Amino acid sequence: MSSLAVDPVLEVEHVSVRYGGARVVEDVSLSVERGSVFALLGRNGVGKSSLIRCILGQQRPSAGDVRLFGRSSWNSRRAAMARVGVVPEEPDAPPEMNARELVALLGDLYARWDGADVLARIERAGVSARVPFGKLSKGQKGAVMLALALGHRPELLVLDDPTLGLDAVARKALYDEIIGDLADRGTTVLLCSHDLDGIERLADRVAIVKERRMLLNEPLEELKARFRRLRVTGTGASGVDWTPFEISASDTREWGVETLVANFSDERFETFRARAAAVDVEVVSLSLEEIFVALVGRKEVSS
Amino acid sequence: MKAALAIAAAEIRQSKLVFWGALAFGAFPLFLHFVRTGVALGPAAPGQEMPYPFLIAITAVGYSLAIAVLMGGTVVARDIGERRLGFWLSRPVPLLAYWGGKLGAAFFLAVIGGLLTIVPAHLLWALRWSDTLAGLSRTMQPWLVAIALAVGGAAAAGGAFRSRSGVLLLDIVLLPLTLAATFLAFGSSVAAGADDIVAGLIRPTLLVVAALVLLAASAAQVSVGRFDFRRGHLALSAVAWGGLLIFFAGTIFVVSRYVAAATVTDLRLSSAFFLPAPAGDRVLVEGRTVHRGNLFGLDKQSAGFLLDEAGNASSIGGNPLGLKRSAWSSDGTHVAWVHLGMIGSSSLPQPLRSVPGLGPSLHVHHLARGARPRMLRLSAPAAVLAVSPSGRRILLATAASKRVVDAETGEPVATLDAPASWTRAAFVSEDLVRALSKQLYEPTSVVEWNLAAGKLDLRWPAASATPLTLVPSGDWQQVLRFDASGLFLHDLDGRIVATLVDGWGGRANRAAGPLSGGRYGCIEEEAPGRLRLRVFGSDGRTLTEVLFEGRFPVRVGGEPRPGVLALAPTSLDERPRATQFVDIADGTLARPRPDSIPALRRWEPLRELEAVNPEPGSLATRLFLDRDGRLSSIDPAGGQRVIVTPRARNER
Repeated sequence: MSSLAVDPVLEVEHVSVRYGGARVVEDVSLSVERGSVFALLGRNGVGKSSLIRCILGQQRPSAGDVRLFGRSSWNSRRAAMARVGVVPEEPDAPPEMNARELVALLGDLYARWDGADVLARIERAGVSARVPFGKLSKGQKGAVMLALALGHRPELLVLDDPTLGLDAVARKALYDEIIGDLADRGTTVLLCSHDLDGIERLADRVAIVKERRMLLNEPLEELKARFRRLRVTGTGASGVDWTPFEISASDTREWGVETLVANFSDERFETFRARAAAVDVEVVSLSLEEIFVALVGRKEVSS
Repeated sequence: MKAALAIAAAEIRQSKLVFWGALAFGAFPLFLHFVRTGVALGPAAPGQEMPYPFLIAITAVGYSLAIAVLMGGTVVARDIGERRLGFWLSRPVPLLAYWGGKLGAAFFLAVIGGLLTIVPAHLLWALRWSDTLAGLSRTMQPWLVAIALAVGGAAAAGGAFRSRSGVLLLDIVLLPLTLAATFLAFGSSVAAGADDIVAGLIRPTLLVVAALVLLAASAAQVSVGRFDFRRGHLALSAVAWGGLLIFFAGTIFVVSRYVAAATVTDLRLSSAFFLPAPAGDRVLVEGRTVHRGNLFGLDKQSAGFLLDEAGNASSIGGNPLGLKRSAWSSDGTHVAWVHLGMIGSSSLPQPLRSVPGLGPSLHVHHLARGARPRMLRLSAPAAVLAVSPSGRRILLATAASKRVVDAETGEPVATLDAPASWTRAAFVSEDLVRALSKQLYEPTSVVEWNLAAGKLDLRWPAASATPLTLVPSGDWQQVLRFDASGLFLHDLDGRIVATLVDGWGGRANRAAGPLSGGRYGCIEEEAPGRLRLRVFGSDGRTLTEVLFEGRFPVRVGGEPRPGVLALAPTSLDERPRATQFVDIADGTLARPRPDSIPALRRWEPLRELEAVNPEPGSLATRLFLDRDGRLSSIDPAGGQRVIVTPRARNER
């Protein structure tokens, strides 16, 4: 499932997280290459946030190991955080402090800090730097958190569902900011979000967690290339032989059968077509969201 | 460090209200003064006492402690409770810098807030800076310790509550357990006589340790747990309860055991107290011990030992208020003493008073059984006035009553409302209390209290003849009386049984003991330029007379050999210090023991003789103290000295 990266910024190896007797993450491994945008997807409650906290050295995995820049994130959290920017799911800056004060405070905490750039980003987002953080809107908080996360020019930007609760305009602004930063600096991004449209714009690689375990982890383009929805109509649709496809999901409709295949290729389709000449077949490309819903929203079907 | 300072500065900037609040609170005593008097405070005249210094000081201390609790309990706990710890954990900040910055800010705010409360009083000339600075220099250390303790305690408690983990149930169980263990350990320290040491340790040391433990617990929660709040709470609880148990209950218990392990050879008898058994064959001795040298310079504690003829000594624990609250049975088979427990224990709630050692307790030692003394809890401080010959009844005096209790169970057999100072000498049997009443019935009378009938009778009819004491022979049916006309033995109906001294030879005469088994009495009579010691028999006949040149103050201190009385100087500081011995048969003097005096020397003529009637040559008459406080006994035959307490009173 995981692939060895040439220059991994982040390596997660067989990580499990438990709270008492409750297992939240089970044997998850992944690797994030430098300069890539890695999207970690999964439904609510599958342990994404716990995994993110382990990655950031905020929580010790029950088993397994997390390495940031080649060193244990738990043991070397402080050094790692000098190279990591974090935008959490819930904006967690001290609510009494305004953006200007936050910028000043973080200027004392980072060896390399571009306060003017941070304030410029905040201003660009239309946020007053003198309003206490706790009184900002959700979108404004997200903009401030992103600006703060980028203030020390991190090598790795960790975004834990940063668009949660944001309207379309705020989401777009946030992604534009991220895309701009990627273009400028080539920052590595680990992104965790339910906004799959946004992820599709950004991500190079996608990992999906289902029921505590890693379901898949591969480049987005490959993922989208190998997943297709095939609609088979005509007499004998229900008895069609799907060889050589690997079926992820299948539904029987009034007009025929709709099947999600996980290993689509032109060669396989030609083989399939040759066997199923009696039926009509429509091949439909899938968005990331459709793939995600198909994979984690349905029961798996063995091929 | 830079990160900690930055975090602290940010926290302080967010809490500026603390400073304004301090100024407002500081103005409160001045406002109170204005409301009460209608006059605003102005500059004080030289020598004029400043008003409300105590109220201002209380305001300052109270405000600083309140801020310490408020800030200490929220600066980190709020980040935990509102899940905002991630903001700090995702920065390149050492966890201890985050924690130190936050709690450092709390400490700073508490200190500066407290100091600011006294500013209004100074600005309005109600206080002088010079006085304040002098006061601060004296109180700064305990004040800072108290603030650190408040910050640490609040941080630990706040962190525990705000982590919202199930470990809180463990805390709820461990809190009373730790308190109970501490109280039990403290009770053992009181019982061992080590409470002074423990109190001495607690004030400067254990409170600092407690503050450090609680601060460390809070730090452990953040650094070990980080965002795993259950794990952090476990770390907090382990450090807090482990540390508190080890440093409080553990230290107190270990110190108590250490102190209780002192032997009679550790005694330093600068101010010892001795209580001999009636026959003199056993002696209770109490003094201060310094165990194994110097433990923090604090290991001087009260300790009591029971010495016997064979040279054995067994500990009776600490008895810090002295053996005056103790008594022997008239046959010497039982001895009972009261341990008052912790000072102020009467104000403790009943559950705490029942902790062994903390509340008052009665100890009864049945010497024939050889078992450990029996301990019985008392509901109120008391003194043992008398033990019955059988050892089954004990007469106790409390502040408001007299009580006869069963020595096996401690249950009261009979109670009489009467003040504690009622009794001078007392006898108790299974069914009777006979006592010399000093205050309850004026003038001084002999009172008989029939326990079964609950009836009181006055047995001393001679209103004008003040009895000195009841004579401890038989059922104490004789009264010793002395006045300007002489020294007399009476029966309880007032009839004279024997005239011991008929008239006095001088103005400053003193009677001295012992009245050895009724065989001898002694009297010192001043003659011009000299002092005469007269020894007489119980029939009043003079046996011998000894004349001393000058005014050598002596007391009869015992009868180490039959027929030989030890004459002691009244004080080790007086010269000559030598103990002299007089042969009763011919009045010859010997001076074999320089620089030592009998341990049972009599400070008050006759009045200490109520229950003591040592046999000639018994242990009680052979104990001597040298000028350095070493206790030794001399062999009645050869005069050989056996050192009991080898160390001098000032030797550490």
